[in-house]
Amino acid sequence: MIDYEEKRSETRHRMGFMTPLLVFVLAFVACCGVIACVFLRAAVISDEAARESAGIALCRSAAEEFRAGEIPENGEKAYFTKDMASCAEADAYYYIETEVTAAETETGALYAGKITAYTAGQDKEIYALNVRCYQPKEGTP
Amino acid sequence: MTEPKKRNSTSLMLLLLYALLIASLLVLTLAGARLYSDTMDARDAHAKQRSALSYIQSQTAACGGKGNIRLIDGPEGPAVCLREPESDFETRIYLYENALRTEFSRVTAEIDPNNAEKLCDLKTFKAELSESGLLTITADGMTAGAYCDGGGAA
Repeated sequence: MIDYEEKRSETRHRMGFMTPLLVFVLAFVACCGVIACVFLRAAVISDEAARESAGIALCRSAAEEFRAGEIPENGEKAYFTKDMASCAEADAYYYIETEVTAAETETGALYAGKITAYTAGQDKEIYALNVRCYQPKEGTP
Repeated sequence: MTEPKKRNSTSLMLLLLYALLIASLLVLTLAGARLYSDTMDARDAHAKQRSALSYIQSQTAACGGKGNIRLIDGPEGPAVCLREPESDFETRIYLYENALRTEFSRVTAEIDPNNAEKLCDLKTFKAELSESGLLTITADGMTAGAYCDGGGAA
């Protein structure tokens, strides 16, 4: 009888010591999990911001070339690596597609382009830009 | 005989709890360090792209036309010279000692990298001006175009 009482007392003492410690550690692990989720979300946002910046830069450059008269074929695609260097389709991280429409006038042609940047893997649109370029006919001032 | 067993099981539980605590701290620290490193790399890449490409595109658009833009030989490759409209001063952008630099000086003055300000770290810089007025800049593999329409005077 006495041994049984002693055993219960010992168990109570041990659990009295361990329970707060266990609760503390579990709470700490839960907080670590929350912080890890925040880090993960921050990394995702950072990646999205990098993709948007790259999409804007690529579209802007293509628009400048369009305005200079270097007008691509309708639906033409150009491929770029993650560092925004030109590359082949197999190595592409981004690509831009240009849709071109032309309206002929008496003195020349007005070209309208829609330049869209995508991520190569998921074909997800990042950014789109509209641009126009007027090219006069030869001999027209 | 049962006493040492009880102490052993308590010690083992304590050890496991501490190990769990340390492992959580370690994972958190590694994740934070990795995130910080990636963010710093992304910041450097964006700064390079902003400084080397977007800056030149904006300056080119603001300089008033193809007549105010010329390419000359810089200390380590071409130098893009953007002249202030109706002025004898120009902004020169060129590569020098692994950095893109900008110098504001008279059109007739020689290039002096000691007077230049650093824009960003850069290893390679190329520039081409086409007949149609398209300025193509290539910096560390990244390429950007800036269209300079007609107008202005050299």
